[in-house]
Amino acid sequence: MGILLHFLTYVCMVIFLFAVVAKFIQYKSMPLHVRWELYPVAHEGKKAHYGGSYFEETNWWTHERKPDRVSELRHMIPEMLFLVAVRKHNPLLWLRTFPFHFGMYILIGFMGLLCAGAAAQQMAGASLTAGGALFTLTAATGFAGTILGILGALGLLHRRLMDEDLKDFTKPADILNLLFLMAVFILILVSGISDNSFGGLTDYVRSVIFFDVAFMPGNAATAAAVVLGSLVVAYIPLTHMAHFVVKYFTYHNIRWDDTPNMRGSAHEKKIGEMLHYPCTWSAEHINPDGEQKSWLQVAVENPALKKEGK
Amino acid sequence: MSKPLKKQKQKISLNDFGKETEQLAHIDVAGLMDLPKPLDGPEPDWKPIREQAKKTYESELDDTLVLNLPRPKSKHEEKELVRKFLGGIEKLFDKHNNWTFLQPLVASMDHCARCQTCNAACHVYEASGCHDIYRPTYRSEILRRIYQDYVKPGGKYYGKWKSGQDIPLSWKTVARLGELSYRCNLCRRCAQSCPIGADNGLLAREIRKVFSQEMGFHTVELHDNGSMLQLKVGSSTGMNPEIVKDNVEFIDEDTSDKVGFKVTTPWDVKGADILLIHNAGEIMAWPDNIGAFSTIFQQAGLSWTMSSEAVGYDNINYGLFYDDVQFARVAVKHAQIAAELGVKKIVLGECGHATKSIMVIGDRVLAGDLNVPRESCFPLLWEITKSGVLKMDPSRNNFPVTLHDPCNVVRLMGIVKPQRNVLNQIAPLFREMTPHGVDNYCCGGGSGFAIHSGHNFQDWRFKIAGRKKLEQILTAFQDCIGPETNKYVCAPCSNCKGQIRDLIAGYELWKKAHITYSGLVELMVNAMTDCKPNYINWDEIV
Repeated sequence: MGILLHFLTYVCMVIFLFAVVAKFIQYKSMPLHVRWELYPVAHEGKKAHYGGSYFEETNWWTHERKPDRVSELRHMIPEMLFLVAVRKHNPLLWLRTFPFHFGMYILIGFMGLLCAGAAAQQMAGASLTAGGALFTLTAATGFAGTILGILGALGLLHRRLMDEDLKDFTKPADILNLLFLMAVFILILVSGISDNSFGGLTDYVRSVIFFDVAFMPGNAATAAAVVLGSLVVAYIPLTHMAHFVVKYFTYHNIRWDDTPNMRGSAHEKKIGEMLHYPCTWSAEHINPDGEQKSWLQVAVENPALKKEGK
Repeated sequence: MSKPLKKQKQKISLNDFGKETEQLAHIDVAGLMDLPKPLDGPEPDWKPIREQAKKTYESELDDTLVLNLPRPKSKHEEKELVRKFLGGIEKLFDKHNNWTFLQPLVASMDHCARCQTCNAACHVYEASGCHDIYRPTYRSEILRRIYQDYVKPGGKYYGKWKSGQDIPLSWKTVARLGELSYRCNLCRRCAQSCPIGADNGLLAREIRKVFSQEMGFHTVELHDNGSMLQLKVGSSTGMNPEIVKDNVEFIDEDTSDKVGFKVTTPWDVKGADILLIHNAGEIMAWPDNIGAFSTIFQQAGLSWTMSSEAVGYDNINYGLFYDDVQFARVAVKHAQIAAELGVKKIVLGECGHATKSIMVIGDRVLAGDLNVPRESCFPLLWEITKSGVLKMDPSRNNFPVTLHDPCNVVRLMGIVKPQRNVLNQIAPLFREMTPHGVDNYCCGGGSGFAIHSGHNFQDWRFKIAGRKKLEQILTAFQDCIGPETNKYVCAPCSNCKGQIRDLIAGYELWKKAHITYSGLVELMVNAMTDCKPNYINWDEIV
């Protein structure tokens, strides 16, 4: 059984990594799109607070452009940690989604602490001492993360099922996602309560890190937490919950992408390439006969004059 | 604490969208968002669409009609149109056919959490009394479900699981979706509020693209009388080069009389520093704006020119609203004309969509010699004001002024301060709308709606699309709302100006509250001490 459980965990971890990398590559390999920024753009530095841009200067192309990466971080870190945009635009949702997300962040930290505890345990050849700093911190994050996560998931489920505005837009997968994550939070919590303040999970993490694949958790809740926890890790990046990857692109590559196309730049080269992509849109004013035409060719055609035979 | 939003009684679920009813949604005018004084009375009901129009065009979405989709003559034709629509959606997800927007499209299609946060940001949704079909998420979700179920590989097996209930795919569904894509101003305020960065405004535009680029359906105003006419004669106003030169010559004469010295607009000056391109609609509808620009540029001693080459005197680019190919064609023409004149830069007059078209969207279409530097007129106008080269007397503008922020130059380009700096210098009674800057609300004429008035669409523009802006304008002037005080809405964008003109006329705001509108440059010339007073002539306003 131990081998089977470890096999599941390893496979799910590999799926997670592959799915995240694949998603990243999928977005990264898409062609350079036209600019579609939305202000405020965080790296505009002093102008960011009111939404200004370098377009506010005359002859802007003659000025050196220095995107302010610190300003981006100042915006992005609170956005990721505290979901600032939801708090601003939808405070009622924030009351539910913030504990849900923050609970997950705490649980990611908890995973790190479990790994640290497992390593310490392996080196010492004995279990962590109850009352020690690492033991206490692990227990505190485990309990805090799961409780916040459960409260958030319950709040979100309630909203999905009861809110008239949301009901119509809720699909079976949304409910399953919340139930799945809530079940994992509950099992981790039960494991923490019933199995030596996450001592059982620390033992399992040690066995995963050090390939002690014969090890099998003695506590049923811990074993169940491992099974469902592994599955949820593999499941998340295969769903729309992969927005934790995509949000990087929606902000950096779309909302905040104000990189101008300067003469002789890499962008200009890419644009030159894309203008040679085939354009097969078939409306009468574009390419009704399905000819081999590039974007460059259709862009310099004048259908109004063509219609008149000029 | 903001007051709760009014809610229409009618409920239309996503599953209702393909229903075999004559008209899917009806907006009860009593349920529309309330307006402040003096428009706090009852709203007149919808003007009905003529029966003949209903017979000719698909008109089964709501109380109005703009896309004019002809009714198919047979079931076979309906099926063919649905097939073409699905083919178009497939092309949207093809990296060659839609390199222009593929990444934003996929991100918005795949990762919207359907949390409805964006609803409250949408002026159309709020003004309509929160009608279901005007949620920014509604049309996106229909598109998403059609894509998941009928286009995406494997969709018929897992589509329902991923997207919820099936949307029955019929010509009725497709036609309604096309029409619904023209109930969004593409202002992207919804996208600004999305925590993930999904963009429902973009999806509305992508639907319009499928209809135009694949199926050949577009509004007459944007396509036939818009981009096609511009490519044919030189301007969507119908003016050819000779007529434009005649008209501007006449404007020069008129302006000279008004300001008290000779004003001459230069044409086709090779090697000038600036090629100024106006929205040619200004030449027809707001000649004072053209005259004011010529006066300012001349008196500031700038080296500038206008072009009499076809398309070169009209910065309009309606492709921005519905068609990437038409967009590219017009952008290339503008750039070619500037390159041939050998100017140092293009400066765009007071037109929001045109400014964004060539500066932002066109930035990744124009390469090599066509990549002529481009800038908005606002920073230049501020630089001129700041320099003191023009002597200004702010007391000449001693009336309440508020500023409308055109979405295309403000939220979508980040040009926020220069126009405010000018106003703060020359308009002592300037006050902001709430909210303003990048959080502004669209005027309701966005995405070209300002030029759409067919059937009863003007009614929809007034009652719904423009309602939030109307509320903002009236609120900004509540301390002096009576007709005894002349008030000025500065709307430095042709499209917005057209919409605000129509709102003011439609709701009789000059008569009821002495509110008028115009651009930024008119206020500048009105304050110039070199010019005769009263460039803005209140006595001429009717």
